[in-house]
Amino acid sequence: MEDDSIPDRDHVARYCRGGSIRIDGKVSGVAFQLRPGEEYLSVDWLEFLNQESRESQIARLRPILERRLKVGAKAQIAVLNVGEAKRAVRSECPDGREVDFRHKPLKDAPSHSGIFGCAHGEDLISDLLARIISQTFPAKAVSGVQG
Amino acid sequence: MEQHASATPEPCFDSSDSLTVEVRPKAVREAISILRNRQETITHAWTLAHRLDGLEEIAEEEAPDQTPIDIDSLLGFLLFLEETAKRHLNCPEIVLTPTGQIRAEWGDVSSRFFAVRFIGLEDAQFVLIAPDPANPRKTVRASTSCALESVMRLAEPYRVNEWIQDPDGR
Repeated sequence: MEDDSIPDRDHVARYCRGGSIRIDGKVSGVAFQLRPGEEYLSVDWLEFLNQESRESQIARLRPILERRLKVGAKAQIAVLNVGEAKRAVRSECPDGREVDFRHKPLKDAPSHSGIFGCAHGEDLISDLLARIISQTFPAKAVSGVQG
Repeated sequence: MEQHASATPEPCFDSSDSLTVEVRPKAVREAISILRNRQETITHAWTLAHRLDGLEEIAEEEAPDQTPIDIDSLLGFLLFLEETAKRHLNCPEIVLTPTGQIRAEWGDVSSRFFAVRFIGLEDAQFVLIAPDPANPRKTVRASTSCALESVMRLAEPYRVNEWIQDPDGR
């Protein structure tokens, strides 16, 4: 439901634009920077998609992202564990920041959620979030593979 | 060509104040081209120019979700490269923020990390994750905004130079 906190044991996926992917393949913290006017970082709650595996969650997520974004060939989907992200920011941010992950369903994206507690221009928090990415997947399905 | 120790090199990259919205993309391509031709003085100039070309293509592909390269940020980055040319910095990773600003990154966030976001011709914001100089078992994590010309001076106490500079001066 709207504004429910996502459990620490669950995972979210963040769409990472092509320009945020480094040459070495790692996701830069810029993938977790707020755009002008944004109140929170958009993510998708993976367990909400009710799929059996991470791969099927991502396959289910791709068309959802394509409907609301211009997905580029170099873009990636980054997976984070909610509890790990909250702990990393709290322990490593100089002000002990608490970030919160809340469900913010959209009409065409019921899994849509948000990371709250970040502010514009706070590059360190963005980098801390990028550090705890556990997996990445191409945002565009590979040709011939359903997704 | 040797420079007098006290002379300030003339910047190659001029202010973009007079550029209109229409000519800014052309200005970005021209600035990248100027960088490409600076191989004799700016280490990794060709590699960086190639990467910027790639970022420009990505921004075109992902428009409007990705803002194009911001010309002021790009010029700030090029000024930074000019000012630090004699330090022979290792080639940074270059990425694009949501608003089209250039960010240069050295190292890895899990250990030692230094990243500079070029806000414009005069300003920058950097993130630093490095061993505390007073107690190397502890880690300093800091982020601050400053004048572009102050970036390296502010980072010096954390010995950033030791791991972002090529020791052989290549």
